[in-house]
Amino acid sequence: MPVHNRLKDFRSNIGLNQQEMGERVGVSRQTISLIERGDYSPSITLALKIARFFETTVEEIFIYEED
Amino acid sequence: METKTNQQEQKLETIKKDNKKAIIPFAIMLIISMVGGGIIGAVGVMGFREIKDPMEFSIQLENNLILLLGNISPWIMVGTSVVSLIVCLLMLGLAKKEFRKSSYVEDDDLRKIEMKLTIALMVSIIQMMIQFLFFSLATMSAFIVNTKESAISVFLAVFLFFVGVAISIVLQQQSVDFTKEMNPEKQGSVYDKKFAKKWLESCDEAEQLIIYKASYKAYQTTNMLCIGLWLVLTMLGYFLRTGLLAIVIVITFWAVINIAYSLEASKLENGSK
Repeated sequence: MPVHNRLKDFRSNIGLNQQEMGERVGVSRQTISLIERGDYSPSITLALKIARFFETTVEEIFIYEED
Repeated sequence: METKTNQQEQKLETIKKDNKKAIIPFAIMLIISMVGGGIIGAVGVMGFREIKDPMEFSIQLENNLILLLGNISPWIMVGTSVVSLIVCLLMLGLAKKEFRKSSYVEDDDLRKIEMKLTIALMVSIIQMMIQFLFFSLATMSAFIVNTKESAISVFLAVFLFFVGVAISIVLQQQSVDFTKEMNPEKQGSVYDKKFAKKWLESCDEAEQLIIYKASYKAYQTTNMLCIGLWLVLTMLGYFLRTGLLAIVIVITFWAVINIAYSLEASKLENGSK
């Protein structure tokens, strides 16, 4: 998958678990887990929500790399 | 304008190349299937040449099979219900214990718990399918024998069927309720006829994608199964005169899932849903 992310780092830095992170951005714990494992690339809406929650840009959390 | 024509020509060339590349394995598969079919056909003809009346033979074979399986049906219906009850309660018990032992469960542990839930759900669904199959066998067997005792066999089969299905539904409800306990955002009750719709609506984007991918896999598997069933039933039709009904059912089922798929895909592509 060409999209990597630093969601786990961002989440750990503020001491949230996956369940709490999911509640903050309106998704399930499983979705946070899938994103962190790199098994799922979130929609633009969810990526923007996550970025807004951490008060940063989408590019800071999600990194697109060509194969 | 000229560039567009060149692009179109290039595209057509690529399509032709792709087709050429794919046609060789496809042709090999077709030849292997034809040779395989021929061998099976020849072996079948040789094997069944001695049967004077294939129709009579197949009816006898079917009746004997129904009688044999019909006789053991009550035991299988009870046995599978008991086994599934034990397996599901064990899996659910372990999953609940692991989930409730601390206020927060780590990701890896949660995946192990979800695996136990999946096993419980699958076992209860398979058990329900077995109840349906052996209910048919038990009642068909009673109709073939057609004695005074047959009525008792039918009542017993009906009773065991309802008990078995009830156990399966309660086990599915237990699994779904626990999933809801783990994921409070999930909606819907197993007993609600709109359960599937409510459940899907309460899933977020990643979970919905998983459901769609799993459904597509099931669709592909069903297509393969239909091809296999059609082949087997056609062969059996040649040698045992098993008739057209089973083939018509498989083809109807095959057509329905493909038409439903195509219509739904077309609706979604055109944005009418």
